[in-house]
Parts: sequence; structure tokens; C-alpha cells
Amino acid sequence: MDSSLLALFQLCDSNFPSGGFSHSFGLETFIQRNRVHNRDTFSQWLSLFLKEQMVSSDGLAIKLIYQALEENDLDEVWRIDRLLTIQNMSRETREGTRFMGRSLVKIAGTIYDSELINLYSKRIKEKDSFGHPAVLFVLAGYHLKISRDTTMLYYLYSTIVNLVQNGVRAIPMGQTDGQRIISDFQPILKDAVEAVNRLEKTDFGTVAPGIEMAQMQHEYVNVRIFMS
Amino acid sequence: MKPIKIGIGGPVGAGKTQLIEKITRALDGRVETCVITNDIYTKEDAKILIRTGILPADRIIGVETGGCPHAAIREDISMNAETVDILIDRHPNVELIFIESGGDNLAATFSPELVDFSIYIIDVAQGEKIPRKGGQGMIKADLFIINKTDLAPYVDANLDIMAADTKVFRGDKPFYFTNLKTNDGLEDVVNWIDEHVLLTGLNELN
Amino acid sequence: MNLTSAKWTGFLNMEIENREGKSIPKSIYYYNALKVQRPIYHGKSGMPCYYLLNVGGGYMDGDTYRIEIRVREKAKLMLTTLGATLIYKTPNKPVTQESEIFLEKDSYFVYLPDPIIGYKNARYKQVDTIHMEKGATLLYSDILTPGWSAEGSSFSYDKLQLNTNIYLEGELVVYDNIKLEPAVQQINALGFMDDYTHIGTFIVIGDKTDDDLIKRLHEVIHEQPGEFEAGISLLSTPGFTIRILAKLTQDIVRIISACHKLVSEEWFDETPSFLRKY
Repeated sequence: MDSSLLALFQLCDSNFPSGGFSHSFGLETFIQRNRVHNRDTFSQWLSLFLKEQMVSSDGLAIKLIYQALEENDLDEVWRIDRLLTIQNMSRETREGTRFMGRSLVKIAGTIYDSELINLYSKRIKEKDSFGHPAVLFVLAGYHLKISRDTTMLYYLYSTIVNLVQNGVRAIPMGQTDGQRIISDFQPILKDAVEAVNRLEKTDFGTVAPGIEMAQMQHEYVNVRIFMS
Repeated sequence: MKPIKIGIGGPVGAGKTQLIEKITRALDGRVETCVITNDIYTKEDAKILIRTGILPADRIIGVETGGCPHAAIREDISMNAETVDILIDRHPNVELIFIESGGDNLAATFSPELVDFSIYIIDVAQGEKIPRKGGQGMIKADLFIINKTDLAPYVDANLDIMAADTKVFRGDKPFYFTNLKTNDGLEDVVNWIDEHVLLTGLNELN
Repeated sequence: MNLTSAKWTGFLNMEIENREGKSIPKSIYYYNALKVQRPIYHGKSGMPCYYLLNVGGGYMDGDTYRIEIRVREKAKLMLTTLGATLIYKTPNKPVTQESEIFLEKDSYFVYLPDPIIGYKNARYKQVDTIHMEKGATLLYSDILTPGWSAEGSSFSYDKLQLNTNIYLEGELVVYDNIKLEPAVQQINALGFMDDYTHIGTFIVIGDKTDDDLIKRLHEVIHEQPGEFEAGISLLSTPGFTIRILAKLTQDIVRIISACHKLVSEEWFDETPSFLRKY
């Protein structure tokens, strides 16, 4: 394994402090209504979340930003940071990704010697950019000269792992079920990268209505352990 | 000027929220204060504090910790750190921020990256033996508080033993007995904050 | 204008201005398959309500539509449709409709169209771009139904896409992109339509948005009868989105009307009239 891959791996590690354990992105709404209650129902939600939200938002953003970086078009990078944030109609999910993005940028700024990450950090401080985990991730992947598809695959993987951990805690599920899901999702993640690569710019930010509804309704969920 | 951040840790029900309320009331507007509460299941603590009226609602923010109350103050402080930034952004002159943990086991400590000082509070009713267990939360805290002293007779707790056990683990580091319901011992706590946090803190941090 | 308009199946350009408290058309131009009727003024609001209609009765294969609207400073405009937008099958080329709307300083625009009904094998793409200046208020809605087919089956259209972009003082503040492709997507999966068939959207942008209004709207929504799920959430700019999943168009219309009424009373001290359609 080359050392740059290891450096990106650090960012995917579930121990990397991103605050991800505080966010369920609407999963908690399904759990509270007992619609997600075991490995099977959790996998269904996770699969749809991946295919009908992550692919067209975070995934496509990574593709478009990577292309923009290759063309040295920074304005496009900042435009997508804005688009990624505002396309989400749920305030909690929007603010959650923003919190996580800002947090990742702070630490990434100290471990990667990347001018672009420093610039992104500066823009966030000056409120010119919002901050989003996917943007930080692709800036890191590009800086480390990791390919676009690998960067995207690692990003989606780290998102899934975080949500499985949250599912294990909140549903609850057994740890073995959790690891089985992560294992089962490996081919699905590869398909997701291919799905992203088939998308056009005009496909950006489409979402399954029920997934989005749960994210919006989370604001009114009574018992909540997650911020989104 | 950066605000001073004090972490308030301790088991559920020990009196963390009440401690913040009482200290804030005692400081009586001398110090511009904000509060972050970490809750396990709801934003209940934030709501309770808002209801007391000690601070305007926009100075109190509740953070849900995804069922990981210790992680949120120790190994992954991201959500709390971002909330600190939001409060500073909202109230640029804030001088003091309390960060209340979401209810801890005895081992919970605050990340030095998150807070400048920490207070760990337990209550007598949880048992005389608590200090003897030597939890990291109690040992590492800058100030240790044993609350609800009025309940000692009902639970057969000997305060002298609790004090002796505390000294074994904390050496000369300060601790106080309080009964926050009647404000017993509150003055000691506020004096400690004045001397160690506000004066020393201001000199050292700024 | 005639030169550019001729290439569209239907074209509408209208400009509304405020003249002594009454909003009146500065210019209205329509061409071919799109048309607006004479406006109705409800009460003393000085706000004209225009009904948009499709002369042909429905959108056909390869049709292209363009709507241009400018609401000038302090002017008000309400736009609705006379009936549902029907999209017939599009064997060769999808139907497209684009709208470009300019809302000048302190103007007020309400857009409450009837639902979009996609027939079997229909493809439709709508792109709405709204440019707002400071102080302008926007109430914007759309409703998507499961469509229509001779066999009575739902979701037999091929693809419906609604893309909405709202700019405030030149900066993109809202981006919404709904795309339904029933044959490709797992529409019956947990978290997709969740047993519902209709989607309603109500986006409101206005400086006076606050937490109290959101709370009251949330209550009003949940006082409505019918079987539905609704979510309301603040935007990153002063404003909010309401999304509704339902089984009947009228349940969505009722919720949007109730929210329109509350916002209109709160912000403009006006109670909107029931939109009569013949």
C-alpha cells in the first residue's frame, strides 16, 4: 500500500474526530417510528440513502470538484460547496454536515500540507464557504494524488461505516450484524461509484422524498440522541 | 479575547445543571456567560436552563451526543467545539462558557482541547464509596464537588470518610461540600471560580 | 421579442409594476400555446391574480415552453393555472419548460400552479430560475401526481424533473431538484415514497421569517385533515421549505392554502381569496 493511500485512510478511520456519531441524517426518525428496527430494515434504509441521496449529492460533488481541480477551476469548487449545502432542505442535516465539514477541515489543515485545504479553511472562517465533509475529502484525495474514483469510494465507505456504528448504537443491532452490513455494502459501494460516473450535472442533488422527509421531520422527533 | 471554558462533569442527577444555574446567578452579570449542554436523549437540560431565565435562550445551546456522551467531551469534541464557535460568533464578547457533559460514568474527563478548567460533581446519595472508587473524572478535575450533603443521614453516608477518600486521590487539589438546594457551599465554589478561573484564567489565557 | 419567442411552443412574458398602490401590467406578451386571462383583483390588496393556460390542453412530445416574468419594485403578482398541467407521452423528445422570474426590491410574487400530471411514457423537465432583490417576498409551490394511464396504473410516466434555483442578490440560496423515474428508481422501497403518491413543495422566502412563524405553520399543517406526511424546515436564507407527501392532490392543496393564508396574514395583513377555477 503506498503511503498516500494510508494518509487518506486516516481521514476514513472511524476514530477520526468528525462528530459523525452525533448525526443520523434522518435515520433516527425511522427508528423512532419503528420502521427501522433490525439489520434488514436498516440495510434497506442505508441502501436507499446511499443510492438516492449520497450518489447524487456528495458523490457527484466529489466527481465535479475533482474535475474542477484538474482544470484548476477553483470557483467551481466553491460553487459546489455552496450547492452541496443549500440543496439540502433539512436544516439539521444541512447544519450537521456543515459542523462535520468544519471540524474535518480544522484537523486536516494540521495533518496535510495542502494549500487548497488551508484556503478552504480560510474561506470557511471568513464565511465565504460553508464547509462540507465531501469537499474536504476530495481536496485531500486530490492533494494526495489518489484517483477520483478511489477518493469517492473511500468517502462513501467512511459515510457508511459511520452510519452503521450509529445504527448499532441507536437501533440497537449487534456488532456482528453491523460488520456484516459493512461487508455486504462493499459491492454496493462500487456500484454507487459507477452510478455517480453516469450522472450529469443536472442530476445534482436529487433525493428520495421519504429520506428527505425523515430528515426534515427529525426536528420534531421527541426522543432524540442525534442532532440530525 | 477568547472566552474561558469550564467543563462540568458528573453522573446524571448529581446537580450539573443546577450548579451552572447557581453559579451564573451568583456571578450576577459580572461575567458575560454562555452555556452548552450535552444531552443523551433530548435537549431537556438546555430547556431547563432556558426556563430558569438566568440567561437569554440564544446563550444556551443543547448538543445531542448520539448516545456517546463521553466521546463528545473527550475523544471527539467536534460538535462541542463547533458550538463554542457559534456562541462566540453570536456573542463576540462572551467571557465564560460552561460546557455541561451529558451525564457521565466516573471515568469521564474533558479534553484539554475543549475546556480550560473542569469541575466534577457527584452527590452524596449516590453512595459514600464514590470518591473511594478513584474515577478519573473526579481525580483530573480542577475542582471536585460533593453535592446534596443534606441527604447524608438518609443514605448512611459519612461525609468525613468521603472527604478523607477524596484527599487520598486528589491530594491538595480543592473540593467542596455543597447543598445547592439551599446554596450551602456555593460561596466556596464561586470564590474558587473568581480566584482560579476568572483572575488566573484571564491572566494566563489572554 | 417576437424573434426569440417564435421558436417556443408556448411563450409568455409579463411585467408588472406598482402604480399608486395597485399592481398593473406594464407589458404582457404571449405567443402560441401559452396564454394568460384577464387578471382578477381580490379585495383591496391591489394584487392581480393571473390564470395561466395551455391553449392546446396539454403538453405534447418535444414541446418547449418559456415563461418570463418581472415584478417591479413594490409590485405584487399572483400566478396560477386554470387546470392541471398534462404531459402526454413523449416518444421522441421530452417536454421542457423554463421560467425566468425577476423579483425586484420589495416586490411580492405568489406562484400556485395546479398539479403536474404525467401520462404514460411522458418525460418532462422544468427549470425555474428566480432572481430576487432585497426585500422581495416569494411564495412558490408545485405538486407532482402519480400521473395517469388508460390502465389506471400509477407512476407510468418515464421521468418528471423539477429543478428550482433561487438567487438572492445574485447569490444562489435555494436549489431544489426533484427527479422521479419510476422504472429506474425503487419507488416502493422504504424511504422513497413510503406508500404515498403525491409530492407537494412550498418554498417561501421572506425577511420576516422567524422561529415563531415556523412553529405556527407546523401546527397549522398538522391541524389539516387527510392522510399525509409533512416536513417544514428553515432555509439557509430567511425562508423555509414545506414538503408534503400525500395520496390526494386536494390534501396538498389544502395544506399549501392554509400556510399561504397564515403567511399572507402575518406579513401583509391580507387574507387571500379562494382561487376559483372554471
